[in-house]
Amino acid sequence: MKALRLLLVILWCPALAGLTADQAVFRARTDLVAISASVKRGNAPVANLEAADFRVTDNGVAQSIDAVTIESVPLDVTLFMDTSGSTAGALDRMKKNVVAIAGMLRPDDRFRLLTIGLSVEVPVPWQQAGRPIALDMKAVPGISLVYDAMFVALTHTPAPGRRHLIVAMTDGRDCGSLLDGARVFDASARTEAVLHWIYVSADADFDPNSVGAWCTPTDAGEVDFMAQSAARTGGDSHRSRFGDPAVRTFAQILDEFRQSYVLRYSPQGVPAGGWHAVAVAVPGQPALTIKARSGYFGAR
Amino acid sequence: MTQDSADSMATFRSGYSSQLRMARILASAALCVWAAVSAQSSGVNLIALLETYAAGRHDEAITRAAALKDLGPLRLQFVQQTPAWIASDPAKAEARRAAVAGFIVELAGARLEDDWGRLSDLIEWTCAQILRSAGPPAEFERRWHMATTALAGRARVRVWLLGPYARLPHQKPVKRAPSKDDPPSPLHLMHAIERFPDDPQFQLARVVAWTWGRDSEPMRNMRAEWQRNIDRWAPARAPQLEAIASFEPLTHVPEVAAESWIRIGLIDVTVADHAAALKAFETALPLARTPQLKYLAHFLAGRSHEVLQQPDEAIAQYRRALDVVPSAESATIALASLQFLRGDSEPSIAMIEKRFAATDPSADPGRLMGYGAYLHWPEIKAAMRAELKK
Repeated sequence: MKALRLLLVILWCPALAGLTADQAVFRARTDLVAISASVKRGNAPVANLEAADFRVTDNGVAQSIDAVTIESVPLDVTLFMDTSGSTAGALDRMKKNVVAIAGMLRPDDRFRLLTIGLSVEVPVPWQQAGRPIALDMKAVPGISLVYDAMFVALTHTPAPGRRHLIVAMTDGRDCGSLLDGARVFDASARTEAVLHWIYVSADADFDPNSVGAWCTPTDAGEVDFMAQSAARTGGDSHRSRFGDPAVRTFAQILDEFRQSYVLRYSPQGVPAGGWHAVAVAVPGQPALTIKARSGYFGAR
Repeated sequence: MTQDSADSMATFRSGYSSQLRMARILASAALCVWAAVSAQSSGVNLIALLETYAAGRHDEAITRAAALKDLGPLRLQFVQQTPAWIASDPAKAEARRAAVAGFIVELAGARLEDDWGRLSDLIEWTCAQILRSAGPPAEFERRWHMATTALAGRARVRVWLLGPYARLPHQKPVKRAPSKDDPPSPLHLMHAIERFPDDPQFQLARVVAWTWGRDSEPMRNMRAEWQRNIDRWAPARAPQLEAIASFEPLTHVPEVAAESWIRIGLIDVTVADHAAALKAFETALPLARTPQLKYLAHFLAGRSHEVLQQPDEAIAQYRRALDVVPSAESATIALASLQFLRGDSEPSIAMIEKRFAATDPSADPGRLMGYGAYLHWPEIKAAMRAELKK
């Protein structure tokens, strides 16, 4: 049941329950599944869809949707900046990006920043949005703990009534993580978070006077675990550059996340345990693009 | 290290004429003027920084030097001014020589990640011009060489330490004439070994450095598919096994026995012999004298258990590792990921949240094991500073 509790975003919608927006939403039952889904026509989020518009299957079995909401709940936003050698040339732009991105959040949101040094680092621990950011970011070449940082990000569980958005700005090249990409992919199936990966290139700005790397063969180039993990959580992969383009990409992700739907249902006709593959569709409008969590682990 | 002040005054009174005294005073004044003019033009006053360092205010001097945006003027002043500064007061020459050497290695430590390549040549210059030329090796020089070897470990500069055609002690030397295409190398560690041939730490460092940059280094993550297919790579990985022959004699030397076993275990990992690796890590444990090595013995045993599909034993070893270094990130992530993927998410999440809420976590031996003696950098730096005070 613990795994299920972790995975299921069980939030009562204030509007549905007739509550005011500032009343706490909460996880009440562990047999409800909540699936975050963004619906777009082109690049524009689609609003005003109702439960009857959606079709949800759980391990291939059609489910009856109890509620569809667009959540306006506060967010926990984890921003991951890859400060390894491969992106170190963009450090000044990264710092500006952090400040700009934190400034986009609402007062009741929370924000933290993860980076990479010789270990995974948290230059900005969880703090309320709007507070000044004391930023101490340093590039550490020769190591790039992307997978370990992703695992740390994914394991955060937001307080009841909040949602967790992870935005990772990295070239996705891991070097020296304890965990491999496959384990991050596994972890992405057991988290409530929605992960978006912004691919940012290295700008080919290596300093030959910095220390060298200890990179043994890794998953790089074999399987794109970052993209797969993002897709599994209902997030997406993007391409951008540090600086203003990355801020614009983040703004787009944030806007889309705030306007995404949460579909809730009580699983029927499927065994409780194991992996539940979930598919979401809007049958009446097949041209829409839907990004939704691809499944969850049920209780053993 | 430093001369007794009464002795130096006696020497000064009895051995110097008034003309010589005047000449020294003028020379010192000229040095000061030169340093001041140079400092004014570049914004760097190296002599002031060295005076601060020599006075025992090490952190203050290094913090100020490390904050410089451009190291160019300091590098120039270092070569131009330090010999004169040392010579300007014979009574303090030995102490100043040590201060110059200590200063540059600590500055390299502070700017290591970005500026190793800008400071390593000054380290070698100091080695040749300031220390090795001063006479028989002293204890400070041993500590200093250990510090430079540690920093070179973080930079993983095998050629800088050993030369381009390094051989292990049991291997026959390569018979070939130097070529103009050979990468330049000061053979820094080999000079240290010449000066301190019986020091087991340098012998260990030599073998460890030999293994860097070869295609058979131990992987840090545990990707199952790689581990399954690693036998295909074993023939290409055989060169790493050569190092075991050089580690084995060191397993009988108490100062380095534990670390030698750990290094042997890491080589076993490269050829996917995880049972042998586990045995090496378990052998290292009772021999380990420092928290870093005890941690590594437990942590790496946990890694081996994971690959051997023994998750309960792996979890137990990770917990023991965290008993030794409670805030270590490597065992925290390894343990939390095992628990998380087993469905025990609550303790896993709590562990991660606690570790990353810590304001001043300890250095993590699990993250430093690939960088040679840099694993012990805080202790090595402290030992060097202790010799400076003598």
